[in-house]
Formats: sequence, C-alpha cells, structure tokens
Amino acid sequence: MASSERQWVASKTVGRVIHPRKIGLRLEPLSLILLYEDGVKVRKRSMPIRSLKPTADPRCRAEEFKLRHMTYLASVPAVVLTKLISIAQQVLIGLTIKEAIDKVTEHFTVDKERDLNAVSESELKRQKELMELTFLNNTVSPLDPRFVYDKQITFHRPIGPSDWDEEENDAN
Amino acid sequence: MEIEGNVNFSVDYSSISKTNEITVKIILLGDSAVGKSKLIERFLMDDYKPHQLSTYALTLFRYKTQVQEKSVSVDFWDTAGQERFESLHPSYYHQANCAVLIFDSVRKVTYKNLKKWYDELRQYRPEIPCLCAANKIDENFDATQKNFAFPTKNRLPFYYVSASDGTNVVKLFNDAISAAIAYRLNPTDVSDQIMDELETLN
Ligand SMILES: Nc1nc2c(ncn2[C@@H]2O[C@H](COP(=O)(O)OP(=O)(O)O)[C@@H](O)[C@H]2O)c(=O)[nH]1
Ligand SMILES: [Mg+2]
Repeated sequence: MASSERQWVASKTVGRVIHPRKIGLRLEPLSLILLYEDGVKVRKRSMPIRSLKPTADPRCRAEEFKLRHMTYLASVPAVVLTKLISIAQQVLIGLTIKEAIDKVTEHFTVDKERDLNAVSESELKRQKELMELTFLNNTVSPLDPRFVYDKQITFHRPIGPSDWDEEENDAN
Repeated sequence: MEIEGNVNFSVDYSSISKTNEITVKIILLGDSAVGKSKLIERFLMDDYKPHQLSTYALTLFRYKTQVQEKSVSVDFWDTAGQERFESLHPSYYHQANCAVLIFDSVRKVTYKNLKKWYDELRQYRPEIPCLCAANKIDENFDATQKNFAFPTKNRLPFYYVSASDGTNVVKLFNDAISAAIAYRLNPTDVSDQIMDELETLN
C-alpha cells in the first residue's frame, strides 16, 4: 500500500498524464507490456509478474498488480489484467499459448443467454465488467474531436422483423 | 419507501411550485445490465452528482433545464440493483410522469422481459407516456434494421440507442422530458399523441 501511495505522489510531481493504448503479456520473462502515450509520444513499459502460482486467485493478483503500478494502470480495467494473468497461469500448467487464450477467452465472454436478474450479485458484477470491455472499446470520449453531445442517427424503415419475435405470434 | 425524512426529496410531483418551476419525475425500467445507468450518465455527462439513496435502492439525478421558456426540474429515478428482484417497490412508480423502458440489443432475454416491466408499470401508472429503447446498438448494428414487435404493438415511441457511442441518447431523454411535461400539464393519456407526432415525423 505504501508503495502505491509513493507512486501516486510521484506521478503527480512529474505531472504527466498516462493514456494506456494497449496491454499484452510476455512469457519470458513473465511480464505485462503496456504501450501508453504520455502526451508526447508512445512509450513502452514492461512490468514483471513475480512468482505467479497457477493456483493463485487471478483477480487478487490483478488488483495487487494494479495498485503496484497505479501510475500507469489507473485507467486499465482490473478485468483486463485478470484475463492476462489467467492466460499466464494456464501456460504455467502446460497449455500452449493458443490453448490458454481460447480457454480463458471463453471464460471471459459475456454469457448472452443468461438472465442476469437471476444471478448472484458477484456474478452480475463480473458480467458487467466483461461488458465494460466492449463499452470502452466503442466509446467516444468528450475529449475526442469526433464527440457530438447530441448525436442522432435516423434509422429508416426496418428491413424485416426481428427473429426475437418469432416463436409466439399471439403471446405478449 | 418514504422519502419525506429528507427535505430535498419530498417532492410532490403533482403540484406546481411557487416559483412556477415545473417538476417532473421520469423513471428508468428494464433488466439488470441493459445499460440504464450508463444511458442516464451519458445524457447528464459529468455535470451531475447523483444522490445515492442506498437505503431505498435507487439513485436520483436532479436535472434543471428550460423548455419553452419554462424552468423545469427533472428527477430521473434509476434503480440501484433492485431490478434483480424482478420487481420494483411501488414508490418507484409513485407519481412518475414518464417511463423509459430499456432492453439490451445483444441479449434476447432482456427483450422478452419487457412485457413483465411494462405490465408492472401499467399496474401502477396506467396512462403515463412510456418510451422504449434498444440499447448497445454499437455492439449489434444489425438490430437497427429490425422491427421489434413489442413497442409497435404497445404503441410505444421506439429508439435505437448506444450509451457507449452516444447515438440518440440525448434525443431519447429530451423526448422523455417533453412527454413528462405534457403529461404533467395535461394528465390525460398523451401517449397516443406522441406516437402520432412521431409517425408524422417519419
Ligand atoms: N457496448 C455497450 N455496452 C454498454 C452500453 N451501455 C451499457 N453497456 C455496458 O453494460 C453494462 C451494464 O450497464 P449498466 O448501466 O450498469 O446497466 P444497468 O444495470 O441497466 O444500470 C456495463 O458494463 C456497460 O459497460 C452500450 O451502449 N454499449
Ligand atoms: Mg444501474
């Protein structure tokens, strides 16, 4: 905790604003690689993941990691870090990188069939975090020159009925 | 749920205040995670700090605006997770002047549940205007080419929106405010009129 506080002060002293652009995993040595902009140019930072155990809770490790590198990771959602750490863990237990990505991605995909009114609070929170990944990808921030507050698109007459209405014509 | 205890929230939405300011209440309805909170946040941007009434499982946003030279104070009521229990407290509906019914255009189950929310709304507020919106069209653009039977059947003005990229969000809420004011000033069934207007616009 003390170290994160120190870094926070440091980041304020330096007065830089970090805009993360991309984050990825490197296996040798095990680390997360961040591409970020600091207002001047795109830089790369390597952050080692030390002594990761396959059985560790990836969510806890992600949160610790985020705290330790708060200056750089403040705006990176914890769920992104959790996903990368989970992939590293699968590789540690012997999966190929591709197998690990497929397996973990499946687990980190929004379950579209699920009635989220009927899940536990923690599961709802997890599903919302996964949804947030797409939300952030598609969002246009007010700082973006393309931002229009009252953005309107008129959609013309629909081409056809939604198949969501198929089964029951007389129900509803 | 009595909110009288707190002066700020003891609003009677059926009386006109001394200052001639109109006060309206607009409620958001729909399943968990359809994007109700993100939509209202996108409309209000960062200017408004919500009042968290956690005891009552709701979040209230008070928004001041001018409509045709009249001061209007709009209270947006958003749930704080109570929708998980499949129904909302009657006080959520109490004195509401307009409802916005939202589903997630990537999750069919949220569309199928519209009926349940709409029935509950009509049980408490048989006449207030209700607008319907398909959210997250940034994720499912195909949805914008589809006709959805539910809003058509119930004659609800319908919007394709995205809280993420902002599409039609401001329009949706401004129309909701107009409908709420219209109902407030002339509390008969105005939903037919709105539908007619929208049809002539097309
Ligand atoms: N792609 C996308 N995601 C959205 C949109 N609106 C909300 N979300 C995501 O859906 C999740 C649920 O949103 P939230 O506003 O909390 O839903 P609520 O439970 O109805 O209030 C969040 O993780 C959002 O990131 C949208 O327009 N597009
Ligand atoms: Mg919400």
